[in-house]
Amino acid sequence: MEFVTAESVEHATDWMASRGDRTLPLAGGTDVMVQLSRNECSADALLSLRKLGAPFDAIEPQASGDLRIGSLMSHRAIATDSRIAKRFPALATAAATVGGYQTQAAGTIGGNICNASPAADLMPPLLAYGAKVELVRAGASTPRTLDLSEFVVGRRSTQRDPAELVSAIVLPANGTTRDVYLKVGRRSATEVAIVGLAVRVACGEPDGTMTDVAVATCAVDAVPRRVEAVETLLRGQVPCEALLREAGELLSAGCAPIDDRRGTAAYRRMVLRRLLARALAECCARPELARGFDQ
Amino acid sequence: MTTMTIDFTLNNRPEAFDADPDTVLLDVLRDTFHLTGTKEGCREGECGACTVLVDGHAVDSCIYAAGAVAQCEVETVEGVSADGLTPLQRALLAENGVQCGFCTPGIVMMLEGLLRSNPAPSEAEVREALSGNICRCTGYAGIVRAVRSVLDASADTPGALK
Repeated sequence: MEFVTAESVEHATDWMASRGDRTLPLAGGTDVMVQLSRNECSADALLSLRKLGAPFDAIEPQASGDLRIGSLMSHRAIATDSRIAKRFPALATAAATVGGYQTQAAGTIGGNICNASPAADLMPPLLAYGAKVELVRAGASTPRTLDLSEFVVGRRSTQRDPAELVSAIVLPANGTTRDVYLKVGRRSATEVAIVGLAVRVACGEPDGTMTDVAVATCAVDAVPRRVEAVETLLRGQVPCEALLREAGELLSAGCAPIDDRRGTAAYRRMVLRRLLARALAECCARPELARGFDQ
Repeated sequence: MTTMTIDFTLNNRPEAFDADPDTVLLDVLRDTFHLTGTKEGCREGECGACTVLVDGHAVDSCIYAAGAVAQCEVETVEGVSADGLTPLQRALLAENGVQCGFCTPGIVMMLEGLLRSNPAPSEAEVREALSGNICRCTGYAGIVRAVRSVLDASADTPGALK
C-alpha cells in the first residue's frame, strides 16, 4: 500500500482513472482508518483528498436557490454554518450528533455518504431534503448527478464508479418547512445511532394540514431510506393522535432492523413509533400530540 | 507497504518521520517521538483520550491518518505545558478535575482548542465540547469547575462561565 496526497482535483481524478479500483479515497478517515486497522478493507493506495479545492471545499449557494455543499466539508463546518442552520436545520442537527467534536472536525459529508453505514447520521436529513450527489471523473467536463436515494444501495455500497469521486452534495431549494433530526443512542454523544429519524413537514394554514411530508430513517434497515408509504399516509392530513399512531405502526412494521450490540430489533421498532410521533408533533408545532406516546 | 516520509511541525518544532501508509498519528506520537502523554483508550475514535490539536483543531489521533499531518502543526499535551503547567492544568488539579488521570491529557487538549476559538464559553458549550471525552472517574463536575475558575481568574472574562 502507498499513501498519496492529491495536490489538485485533476491529480485526484487522473489517479482514480487509472488506479481507482484499488484505491481508498481518504477524507477525514474517521471510519476508513478504523476499518483498515481491523482488516475490514484493503487497498493498494490511500488517496488523501484534503488539499482539493473547489467545489470540494466550499458551501456555495446557487442562483437557483439550491445549496451546493462540497464533499470535503466537515461535520463541524456543516453544524455551525448559518445558511444550513437557517434553511436545512435537520442537517445541521445531524452533523452535530456525529461522534464528538473530534470526529466532527475530521469527518466529512462526502465520507459519511460514501462510507454508507446503515447508521449514517447525515443520510436521513439529506434524503428528506431530496439531496443529489455530484460525481467527477477525469475527462468528463460536467459532473454526473444522481439522487442520493439511488446513490447509496447497501451497507458500505454505493453507485460510485471506481474512477469517480463525489465532489458535492446539492440540496434543492425548498419551501417553508419545519424539519427535525432525532437520534436515539445510549448516550448523548460519541454514539452510533440506535435509531435515526428525519422528518420534514410543510403545514398549510389555517388548519395545519400537512401539505408535504418527508420521512427518512437510519439504523433500522440495511440502508438509510425515505419511507414513502408513511409519507403517503400523512400527506394532506391534519395531524391528530390517531393518525400519528397509525403512521408509527406503519413505519415500525415496514422497517427491517436487526439485533446488534447497541439494541434489539424489537427495541428499535418500539422506539421508532414514539420517535415519529415526537418528530411530527415538533414539526407541526403541536407538542401535545406526542404526550400519549410516552408510556 | 511503501514507507512514507512525513515532514510536519510537532509542538512548534520541525520534525519528520517514516511510517507505513496506514499508520495513525497516535502511534507516531507515542512510538516514534516517545510522547506518551497522548493516551490510547479505545483505538476507534470514541473516547477522546487520544485528543491532540492538528492545525488548531482537536481530533482523535487514534483514527487520524499519520500521512495527513504533512506540513501541519501538531500539538500534544507535552507541547501545551512545555513552559510548565498551564492555568487550566493547575485548576484541574485544584478542583479535583483529575482522579486516575487517564482521560486528562485528552481533556486538556480539547479545552485548549475550545478556549483558543471561544475564549468565553458558556457551561453548556464547555460540556458539549467535552462530550467526545469520556471520563469514568470525575463525573465532569471538577473539570467544569476548573474551566470556570480559569475564566473567573482571567481579567477579561470575570464570571464568564454562564
